[in-house]
Amino acid sequence: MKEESKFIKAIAKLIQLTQDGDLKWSINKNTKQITEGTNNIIDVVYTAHEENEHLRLYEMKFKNWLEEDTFEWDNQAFLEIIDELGNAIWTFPSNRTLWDLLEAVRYQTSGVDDFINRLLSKAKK
Amino acid sequence: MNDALVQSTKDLSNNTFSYIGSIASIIGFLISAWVLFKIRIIESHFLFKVRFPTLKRQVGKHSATISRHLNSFPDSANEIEIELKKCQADLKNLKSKLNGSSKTSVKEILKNINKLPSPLNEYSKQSIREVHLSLVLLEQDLDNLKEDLQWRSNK
Repeated sequence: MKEESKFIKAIAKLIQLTQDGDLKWSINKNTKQITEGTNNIIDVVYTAHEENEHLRLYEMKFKNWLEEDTFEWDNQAFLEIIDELGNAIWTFPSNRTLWDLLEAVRYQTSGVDDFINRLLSKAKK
Repeated sequence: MNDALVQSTKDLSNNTFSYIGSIASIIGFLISAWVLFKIRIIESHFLFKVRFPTLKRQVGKHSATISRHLNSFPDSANEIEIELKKCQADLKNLKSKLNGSSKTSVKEILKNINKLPSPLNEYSKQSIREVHLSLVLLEQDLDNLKEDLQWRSNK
């Protein structure tokens, strides 16, 4: 199995576990540890625990300098394995599937599913 | 005697010219066929280069949409079915432009989409996930192909 395919399959597995509710993610707003000393922006960090490893997932916005005084904002999704102090031990290679995982995690942590079900059942009354 | 000699010389030169003419026609036909064949290759190569980035982007879009709708499955079964239909159309288009292992992957995905029941039910979730994973892997494969193409055109 090619290494990149292995990572994609691992991320797809995380998406499945997240969508089935077997992997619970928590929201962490303390993003300083990652962005300190940079102009990068992270709104929220998601953490989870799977197979004795701590996982950290986030979207980072950063300046992409086109010329010396011109830049545009770019963004990238990161998935890392971290230690107990929150230091990144390993970062998954960048891949579009990480956005699918981020979408699934946002869906889970926002509780939008429960909200919509509650709202619809209220509307029926 | 002299007349006969002149006539036979004329006949010989006429036969030679006609023989050369025939050979030239055959060569001309072969060259035309070869040029036509080359034009077709160039045309399909050009079409592939123009359409490839769009089709690759579409594959990514379909896989992202399917994954997003899987968050609320089976409520989103209808949306996934519609996306799979769009995906099928793009994959059929892509299949005709690919060769080798990428073409085999596309055929396999199309086969798996066809196997899905209509309408989709809660038991289809795992099969949809497999289609999603295959689409992501195909997208990766197409990324590699794109890099190969760029490398070839820079050579």
